[in-house]
Amino acid sequence: MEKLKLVSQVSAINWNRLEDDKDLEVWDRLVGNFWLPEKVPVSNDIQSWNTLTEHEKTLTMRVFTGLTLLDTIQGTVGAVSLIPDARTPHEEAVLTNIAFMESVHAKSYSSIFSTLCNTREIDEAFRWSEENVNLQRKAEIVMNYYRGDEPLKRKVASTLLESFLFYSGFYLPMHWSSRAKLTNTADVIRLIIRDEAVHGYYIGYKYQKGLAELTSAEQQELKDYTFELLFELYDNEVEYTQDLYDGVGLTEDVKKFLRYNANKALMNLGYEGLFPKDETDVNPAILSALSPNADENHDFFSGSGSSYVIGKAVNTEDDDWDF
Amino acid sequence: MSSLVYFSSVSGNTQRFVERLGLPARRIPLRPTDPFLRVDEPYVLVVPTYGGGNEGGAVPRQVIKFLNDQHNRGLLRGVIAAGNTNFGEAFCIAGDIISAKCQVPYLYRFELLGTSEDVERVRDGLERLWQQQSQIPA
Repeated sequence: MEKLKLVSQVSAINWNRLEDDKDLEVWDRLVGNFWLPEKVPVSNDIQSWNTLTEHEKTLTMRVFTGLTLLDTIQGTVGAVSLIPDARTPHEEAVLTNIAFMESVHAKSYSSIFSTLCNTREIDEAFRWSEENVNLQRKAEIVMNYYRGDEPLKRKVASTLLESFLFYSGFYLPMHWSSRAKLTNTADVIRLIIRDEAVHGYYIGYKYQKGLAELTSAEQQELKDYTFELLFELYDNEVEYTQDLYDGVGLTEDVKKFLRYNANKALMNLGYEGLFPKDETDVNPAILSALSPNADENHDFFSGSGSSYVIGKAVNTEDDDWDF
Repeated sequence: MSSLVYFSSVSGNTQRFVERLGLPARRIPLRPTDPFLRVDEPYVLVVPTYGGGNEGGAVPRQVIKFLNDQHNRGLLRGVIAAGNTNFGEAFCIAGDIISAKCQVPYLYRFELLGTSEDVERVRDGLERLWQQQSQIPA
C-alpha cells in the first residue's frame, strides 16, 4: 500500500522569524486578494446568456467544466502535494492558502452554472468533461508528476498548470467580454486569472530556489525536462483547443493566447520564452479584455521622441510618499 | 553616458532584465538596514509592479524611499516598469504612478523577464535618450 506522504516534522510556525521574506510577502498578497464568487453579480448576465446560441452555450459550459477539473486537481492534489517539499514552514502555510483558493475557483464555476443554466445542462457538461480524451489526458499528465517523487518536477508541472494549462479555457470569457457579453462572469474569471499569476510566480520562484542548489548538469536536465513537458502539454492543448473552438472558428486565435501564456509560464520558472513574437501576437481585443491598459502606447522609444508619455494620475497614493 | 537604477526582489526578475541590457546599473537595496543608495548622475529607473492587482502598494516601498530623497529624484529622467497582464488594470501601474508623481516620461514596459525584443528596444531607446540628453545644454 502507498504510504501517505506528509511533512516529516512540524514545529510551531513563527511568523516573526522568517527564512524567506517572499513567504510573508506572498501570503499578504494572497490574503489581500481574497474574494468569493458570491460577491460578483453574475445574475446580471442572465439576459446576455440568453443571447448566445445553443452551440455557444454548450461551448461555454464545456470550457468551464474543463477549468473546474484543473482547479479541482490543483486544490485537492497539486498545491497539497507541494507541502511536504516546502523549504520553510511559512511556505507550507502559503500553499494551504493556494490550495483553498483553488477550491474557491472550482466552486465559482458551479456558482456561475447555477445562475445561468439548468440542472440537466450542468450534468451534461460535467459528463462531457469526464469523457473528453484531451481534457482527461492533460489531467493525467499533470497528476502523474504530482504522484511522482521528484519535488522540483512537481513544481514545474504545477507552474505549467497554473500559468499555461488554464488559458485555453480563460480565452472564452475574455472573448465574450470583448463583445460586451457575460461581463460579470468575466469579472469572476479575471479574479481567478489574477490569483493564478501569484500562484505561478510563487511556485516558480521556489522552483528556482531549489534549482540554484543543484549542479549544472542537474540544472540542464531539469531545463530539458521542463521544455519536453511543455511540448507534450502544448500538443495536447492544441488538440483540446481544436475540439472546443473549431466549431466557432476561433482555434487559431486561441493558439496565439496559448503560446503567449506558455512563454509566461516559462518565465515564471526562470526560463526565456520559447515562442517567437509573431506566434504570440494575441488578438488586441482579448488582451484588452484581460488588461484594459495593455494596448496603450508605452513605448516612448519607438515614437518620434517629441511627445512625452507621462503616466496618468492614478488613485493609488501610498502613505510612504513624502513629496 | 548612461545609467540605470533598478529595484528587484529576491526573485530577481527585474535584475535579470537589467543584466541582459548589459548597461551600468545600480540596485536599490532590498532591506531597510542596507546602506541608502544615493546617485550622482542622471538615470532611468527600472521597477517591477507590486501588489498583485490590489489598490496601493504597487510601487515597492524601497523605491518610494529612494525617490523621497530630493537629490535622487532630481536626477530621474524616465521610468521603465515590469508587470503581468494577469493583473488587469494594475498591469505595470508602478510606471504610471512614478511617472505621474515625478513628472518624468514613462519610457517602456515589459512582462515578467521581458523578451529579447524588449531588451533590444530598451537598449536602443536608452542610447538615443542619453544622446538627446547630452545635446541639451545644462
